[in-house]
Amino acid sequence: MKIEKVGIAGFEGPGVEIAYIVAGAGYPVAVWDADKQALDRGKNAFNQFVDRAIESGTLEKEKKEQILSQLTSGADVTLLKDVDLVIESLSDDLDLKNKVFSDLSDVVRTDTVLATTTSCHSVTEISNNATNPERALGMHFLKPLLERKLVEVVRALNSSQETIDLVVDFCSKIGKETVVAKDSPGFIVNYFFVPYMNQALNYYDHGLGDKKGLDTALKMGLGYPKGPLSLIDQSGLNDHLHLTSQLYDRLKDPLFAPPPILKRMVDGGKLGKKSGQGFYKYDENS
Amino acid sequence: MSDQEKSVGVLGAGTMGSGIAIVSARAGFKTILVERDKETLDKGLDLIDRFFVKSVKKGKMTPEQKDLVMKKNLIGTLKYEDLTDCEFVIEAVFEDLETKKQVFCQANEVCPPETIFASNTSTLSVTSIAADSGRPDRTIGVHFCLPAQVMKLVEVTRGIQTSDETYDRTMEFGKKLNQVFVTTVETPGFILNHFIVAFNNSCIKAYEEGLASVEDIDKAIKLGLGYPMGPFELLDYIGMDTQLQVSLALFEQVQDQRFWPPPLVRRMVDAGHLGRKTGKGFYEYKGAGMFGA
Ligand SMILES: NC(=O)c1ccc[n+]([C@@H]2O[C@H](COP(=O)([O-])OP(=O)(O)OC[C@H]3O[C@@H](n4cnc5c(N)ncnc54)[C@H](O)[C@@H]3O)[C@@H](O)[C@H]2O)c1
Repeated sequence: MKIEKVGIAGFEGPGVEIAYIVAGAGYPVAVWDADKQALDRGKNAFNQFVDRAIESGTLEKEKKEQILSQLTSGADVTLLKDVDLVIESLSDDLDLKNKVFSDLSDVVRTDTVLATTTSCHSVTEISNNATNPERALGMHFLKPLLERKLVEVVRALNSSQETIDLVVDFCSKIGKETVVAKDSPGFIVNYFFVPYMNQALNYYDHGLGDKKGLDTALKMGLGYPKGPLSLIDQSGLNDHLHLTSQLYDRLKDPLFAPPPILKRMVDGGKLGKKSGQGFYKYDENS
Repeated sequence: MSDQEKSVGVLGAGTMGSGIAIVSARAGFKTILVERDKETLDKGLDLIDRFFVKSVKKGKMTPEQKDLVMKKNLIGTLKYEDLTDCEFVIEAVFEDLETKKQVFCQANEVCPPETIFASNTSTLSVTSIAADSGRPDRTIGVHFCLPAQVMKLVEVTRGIQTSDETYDRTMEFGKKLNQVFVTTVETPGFILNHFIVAFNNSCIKAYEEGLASVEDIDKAIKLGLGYPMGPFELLDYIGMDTQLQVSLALFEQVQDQRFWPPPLVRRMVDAGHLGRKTGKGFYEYKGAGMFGA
């Protein structure tokens, strides 16, 4: 079997970016989202990606119609009935993901691959809601999705080797590099990244560095793309709080314990760039 | 490559001292590089010369500029007396409190009162080094990054007794060196080592426990986070002996589990798998030389 047609469940945030990446690589993409408003927002965002790619020269103008025509979307899950791979990219709620995996199983063929993009839940638990757990696994995209080349292909306990190979090959076709990771909390990247970010938040909270000094030192001294505080502002403080809290619940390792300053800032509505303020201030146009 | 008025002293022509001497001489300072024996000094000077040869090849400086820097700006010596005209003396000798105190005491006898002493220590207390330097108010931490000749960042750390004037003059000096001086609090590891030692140990530990292979962890970190090197590639540059020593030094001061070296670190040191410098660490290597141009 080959992956020729791709389905995506969830048309918000990463779902839009994944749709753009997959369609951009020439695959027909069917996107399902139960929420009609989310579908409209998703379609708009998708169009914006296409326009911005043309503006920046990463996409040829002539390709625009083609990419747009490759995308179908709707609120009826049967839209996904003849796809070869479904990438589930709903909000990171375990109950929802479990339910959708079981619902999807009723719709798709028995050999369709179901992939969850979860960053913090057990891929094995989600996978086992599928009728065919050996055809299920994790595809963890790293943010920002259009910039980062990596997808962690997560092997659930029951994923078959054939399924893993199929998805690794698919990733290379959409321009991504892969590592095959165990289904252990945080997989590979977040297992190292989350403690690092927490350490930076606590270091700052304890008064050991000012924002600029901390960000400049780590960016210039270690060559990281961004210092930790401007990075978390970008990705959202609430997202990090969710991630580290979920991982802490599963690992009970103090390195993953949510730093008090993070909870405080999220409680106070300082979520980062998206709320206009996190560790730094942002005006609306920036 | 303008000529600076004042001279700079660099103590120790090892990895860091050679790199710092390159930065200083390249910025136009007359640079006095002091070693304890002729052989080590010549080795350092030779590495520096080969670095500048590469710079010329890459078009980063003209052959005339190289000659000026090597023949006029840079002076290698075994005598502390040659430090008498230095505005700054930067020590980059072994990471050992007694050695650092001893070289500053020697410099203190020959340098005028206004000379500032700067320590490149990674893990020791700036306050403690300053206390026995003979001029605690004029002693400060300036921690260059490896490889110093390439990396722009320098962490500047005041000891308890460091004066405002010393701090201000050091920050001014940073600009003349064309480096980015960032102020840190005096806490073990400052900023960079506080983070990178813990991060690298967490990677070694996870690898040792079977989370993933060396290659996969490096690939995941580089492509997933956009870091320039994977942790194991970086560790092979740093050297496992240094990783062990820095880990132990930080752990001793803060007793934080994150700094404790995972058992594999010692096993690799015992086996001589130190990294690039021994040809084998997490990866295997052929040929050695100085990084960058
Ligand atoms: N290697 C790194 O990654 C790194 C990075 C930043 C800071 N540092 C710090 O820089 C310092 C030097 O480290 P290194 O890696 O360059 O070590 P190194 O062993 O390569 O060099 C130390 C040099 O000091 C010389 N020396 C010793 N005693 C001396 C004396 N009395 N007078 C003159 N020279 C003397 C030695 O002969 C040797 O050449 C240490 O404090 C270290 O913590 C190291």
